[in-house]
Amino acid sequence: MNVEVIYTTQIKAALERASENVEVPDGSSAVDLLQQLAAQHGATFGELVFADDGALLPALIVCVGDAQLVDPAARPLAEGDVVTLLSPISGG
Amino acid sequence: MREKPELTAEERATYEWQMWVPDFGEAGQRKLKAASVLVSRCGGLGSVVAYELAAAGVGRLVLAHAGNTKPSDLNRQLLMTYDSLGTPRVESAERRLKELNPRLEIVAVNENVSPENAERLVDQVDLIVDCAPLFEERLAMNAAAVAQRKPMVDCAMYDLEAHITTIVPGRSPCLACLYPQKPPAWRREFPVFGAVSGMVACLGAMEAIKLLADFGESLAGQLITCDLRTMTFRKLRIERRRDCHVCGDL
Ligand SMILES: [Zn+2]
Repeated sequence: MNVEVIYTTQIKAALERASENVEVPDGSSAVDLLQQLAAQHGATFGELVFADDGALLPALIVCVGDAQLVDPAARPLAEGDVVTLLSPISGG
Repeated sequence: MREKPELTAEERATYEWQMWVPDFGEAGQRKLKAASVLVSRCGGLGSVVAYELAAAGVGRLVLAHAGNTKPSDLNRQLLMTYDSLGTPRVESAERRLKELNPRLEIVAVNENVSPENAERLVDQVDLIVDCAPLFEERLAMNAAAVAQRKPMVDCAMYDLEAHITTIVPGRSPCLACLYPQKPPAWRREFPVFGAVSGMVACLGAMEAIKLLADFGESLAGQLITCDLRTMTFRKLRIERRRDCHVCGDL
């Protein structure tokens, strides 16, 4: 199935792109999607999304549509979902 | 909040046009006059937040910002002036705010927020606007605000993007729900135009005014994201963490 990923802030800057469409296996969760993207985009992306132990960084906000997923591993994505990654920012 | 004081003739004249706002009126103005707000750092964001709150007639501002004005402050920290280079930022901020509104009571604190002073600073106010550039400061402020059950408007930016939400302890996610640990990749120095920090500062100031005067709808439970490269604004629903170490028991 196909999902759209929207990158923001530091992830957008690191990847030099604001979005992409990604083909993922049916039943994939947002975490599965992010692991696939980390394999594709390498360490620059991986460091902004995953901790050293491989767990999702707790400060990464993952949204599907306009709602945050508290547990991005908990439910499968659906065809056409728009997944937004909000990397934490604190500029004042 | 303190007793709502009467407005003077000068205040009626100054705030006449904003008292025409439906649901605000003279009662709202009196609530602002009685109100006290902490602005954590008066940088690109906090300068404009403080200026807008001073303009709107908030009675008392507590400003926390350490250090002296540097040349690299002057592209966005609008309460700092060329003449203030090398002198304490909070002094320049106080002077500029008093030029606009001499009635304003200001407590200028030449310190940044830390776990040591957050409780004391929050104790002095009704509401906090968090504009600090470091997550350590934001998370310390969040913990004190939640402990004292005081609302906090959280504004942040990076490059041409910004985030803003309002934390109402026990009702909305707190900052530690969103960021349970200090994000490892964030650095104190970041790309910034003053027009971006000023934009999100105005959103934050309006959010503070609505909360203090009790009108409109707050952003509690919602996060606005803006990207001024594409002029994209979104409102996202954010969630509390039941196991949040700061607000989980509320
Ligand atoms: Zn919380």
